Amino acid sequence: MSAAEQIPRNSIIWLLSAQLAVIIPLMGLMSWWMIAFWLLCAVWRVAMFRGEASFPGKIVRGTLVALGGLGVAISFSGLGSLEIAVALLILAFSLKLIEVRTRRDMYLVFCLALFIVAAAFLFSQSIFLAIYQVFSVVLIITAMVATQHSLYNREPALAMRMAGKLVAQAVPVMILFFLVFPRIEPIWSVPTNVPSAGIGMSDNIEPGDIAKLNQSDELAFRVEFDGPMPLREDMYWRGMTLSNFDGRKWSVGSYLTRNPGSENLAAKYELYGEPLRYKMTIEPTGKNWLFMLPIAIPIDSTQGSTMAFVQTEDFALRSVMALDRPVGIEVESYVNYSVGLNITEAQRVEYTKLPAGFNPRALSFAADLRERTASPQEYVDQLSKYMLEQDFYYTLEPPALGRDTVDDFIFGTRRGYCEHYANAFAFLLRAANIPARVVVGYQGGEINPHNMTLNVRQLDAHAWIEYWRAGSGWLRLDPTYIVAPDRIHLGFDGSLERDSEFANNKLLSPLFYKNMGLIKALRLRLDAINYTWQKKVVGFGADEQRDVLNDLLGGVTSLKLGILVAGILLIVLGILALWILRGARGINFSPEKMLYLKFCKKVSARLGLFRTKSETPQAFAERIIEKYPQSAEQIRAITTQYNEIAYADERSAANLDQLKAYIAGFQPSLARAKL
Amino acid sequence: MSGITQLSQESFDSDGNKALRTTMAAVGEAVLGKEDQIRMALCCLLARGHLLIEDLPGMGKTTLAHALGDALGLNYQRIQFTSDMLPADVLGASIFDRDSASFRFVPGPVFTQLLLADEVNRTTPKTQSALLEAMEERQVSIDGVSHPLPKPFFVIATQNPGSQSGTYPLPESQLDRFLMRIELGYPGHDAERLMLQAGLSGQHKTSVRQCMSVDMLIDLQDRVDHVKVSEPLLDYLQRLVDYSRTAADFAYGLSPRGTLSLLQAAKSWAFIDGRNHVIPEDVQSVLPWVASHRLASTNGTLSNGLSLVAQMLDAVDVL
Repeated sequence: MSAAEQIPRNSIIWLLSAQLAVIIPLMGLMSWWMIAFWLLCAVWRVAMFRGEASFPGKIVRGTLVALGGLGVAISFSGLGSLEIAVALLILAFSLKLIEVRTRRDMYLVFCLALFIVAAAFLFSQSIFLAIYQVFSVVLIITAMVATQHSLYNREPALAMRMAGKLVAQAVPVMILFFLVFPRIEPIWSVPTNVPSAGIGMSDNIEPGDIAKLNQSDELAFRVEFDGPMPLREDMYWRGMTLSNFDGRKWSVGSYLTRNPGSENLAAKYELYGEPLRYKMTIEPTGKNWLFMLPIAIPIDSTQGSTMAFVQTEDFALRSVMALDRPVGIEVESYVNYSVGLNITEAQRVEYTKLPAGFNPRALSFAADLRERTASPQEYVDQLSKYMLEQDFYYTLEPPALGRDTVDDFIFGTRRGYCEHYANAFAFLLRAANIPARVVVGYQGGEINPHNMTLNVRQLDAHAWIEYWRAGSGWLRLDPTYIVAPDRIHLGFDGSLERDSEFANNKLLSPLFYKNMGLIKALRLRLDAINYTWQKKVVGFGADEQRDVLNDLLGGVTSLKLGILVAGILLIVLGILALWILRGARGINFSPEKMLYLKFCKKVSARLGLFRTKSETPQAFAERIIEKYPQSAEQIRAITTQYNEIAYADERSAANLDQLKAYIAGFQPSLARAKL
Repeated sequence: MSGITQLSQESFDSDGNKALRTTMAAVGEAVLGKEDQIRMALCCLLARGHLLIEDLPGMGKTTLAHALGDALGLNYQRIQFTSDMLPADVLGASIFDRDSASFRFVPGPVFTQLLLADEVNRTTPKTQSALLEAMEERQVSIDGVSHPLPKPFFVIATQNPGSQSGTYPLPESQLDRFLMRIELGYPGHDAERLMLQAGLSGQHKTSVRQCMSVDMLIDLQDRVDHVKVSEPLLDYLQRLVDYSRTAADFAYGLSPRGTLSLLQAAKSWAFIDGRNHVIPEDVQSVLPWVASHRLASTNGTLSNGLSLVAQMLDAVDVL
């Protein structure tokens, strides 16, 4: 490679920094070895620039590609195809670094970088990432500008200013397109952001599952209430009910699986009072369950959107499609209700069924207690009382339980977490032949005072039970509330404030910092900003677009839309034109120049001929005469007169008047022109 | 070379103009098909400037210089520069005279009205700069005594393109001393045919009749000084110069000496055209030959002076 082809030093620096900038947001996705891989390529590149290394041969490159592919196959097995695709893209992006020889190769890398900037949005759409990516784009454009032009290569500040200018110029067009470009449903769908295993609720729980969830700070959904917010202890975000117990695990019942929903459910519940209205923004879970205040009825949510819901037999909501991207729905919840006043015999069997041979002590305890109580309700009350009076503790890190989980828990450890209590309570109710089921969902949430939204995170995950009482239907009962009312009143982290052991263990966890006042305030403020962004920008879909355009235009027609686009473009271009022409203002033209420009205007308007900048009056005259020979004399007279005045210093009133008269007498028309 | 205006006005000086026309015609008989270059050379001479002709060997550089000298009635000398030439070979030297027992100055070939410096880039920088100093000062200083050069003093230097071997390219600072640098180029088809036919029949003219006296030439030079220049024209000139100094592609712009040269050449061109005032066409006509050797591009060899001038003309508004 000769010196002339060598990519300049500054361009290498730009290239590396642009690469680093676009990789940073994806660091979380990349394995450590991929970062090392990139570093290796970067060091290699620098060494090549300094002449200490040579370009890798085909064998070396082939080996690196194979190694990288193998690495991705190993590290990303079990993850979605999207992650694998992006990982391969980053790999190729890194490897390209040691293959770049010419400027053209550089442009390829820059285009790839822009593509990766877009790819990062597949994993997060937060405003912070968006702002960061604007800087990334400016950096990439700067690198492009610096590579393009030797002056900009020497002056990084100039290059950056130029790139900033270019990006700024693109902004109005971007906003325009954002507002009016049709939101086309994707022809193919990217398998976006399916959360990795362990995030969100699964279809079954066993002791310890929710405790794991509770260590995650991740957002589950946000709620914006139309009216006042209900009390925190009333906010049970109900998901699915688990009716099938196999001795260790509660899972969605076979009854429910057989009857995933029916049309005449409305006949099976009675709703009282005014509903609560709220709007939910649900983070993708990859599953179908929705978590609502019961009994929830979506308002027109299917209108114009691809979301469709099914109300299940147990009055939960299921989305027909798995939630693989953020979804916004508006819901009405009737918190005063009675459901399932009558249950069938089959349902009764389903909800009292217990596996044989488990928890013998608990079974006899239940039989004993049931005998001593007059009614099922009294049994429930006595059971609650027992829990309250005995030595039960609420802890996130309970001891392990043996085969008979309920026996071990009630008569042994007595330390447990919400699912331990729900498990035990449901078991004991069923043991007394009272229909019962475990409900999983979220409890409470965090109120953001800046925008009055409720943020429900994974750490708000909760489990409680529902039992059936003749005449009242299904009733909610939260055994955790009996044992640890703080958990419900203060929320999850409030109840843990004294549990210093837990917090200390997780010095780096967001939970730890959550409790520090200033940081908490800052976090809430940022969260509010991000929510607005999510709602107004990321959530700006086809419906919102139609609404905005409707407000703006009063009924969308293609004509009105066309006028809007043209109008905005006209305004933008007009401002630009004013800005460019600004230089021409403020100059006082001499009178003969004014007259001559008038002549030029006449020629351009009538004959379609424009004087070029470099054209002298005489040369222009010749060109006009060629097209319009009829007035040759007049044109020559005007030109000569102008030349006399301007260049022979013959500026006198009489001469100017003469020129004026010549120009006034010049009346060409295209109809007679030589075409 | 284009832009010889057809819209000539009535001549304001029929005598001088007629003499100029006959001169051009006479030189044109010796150098066939190069009317524009002849006119440009004459323009340079009337503007009291020195002329550099750059082209390949055998293109008629020397013939043009000879013919001009003959037609204008100037006494002329020719120096063929070689690499072993010394300044004294050009300027002259003080020689000890045994009769008078004193030093006597023996003038060199530079003491003439028209000096033809052939292949000026074949000699060493030392000798080149001796000549170029004489051109600028119009006098020669040897041993503390100044010897003025005759009037008019006009140098036509020829050089081979820098890419040819065995050359010492003139540095920019010395190129600036030449008012114009022109190229002759290959003759046109008809002119070459004419030349071939004349060569066959042995009729080709080598000497040119005298068309003008030295006094007349000096008078014409004085009259060029009186050609009028208006404010709008100066505006145009300054816009051009400013552009050369600010545009990104220009490594450096025109020097003030370059600006003055441009104005003087434009005046001379207007005078040859028979006008007593300068119009933009005059500036546009002379600009390539006055400016191209004074400009350099930032991106090295990609564009030469002439393409820079074209860019300048395109970008700057005449009005």
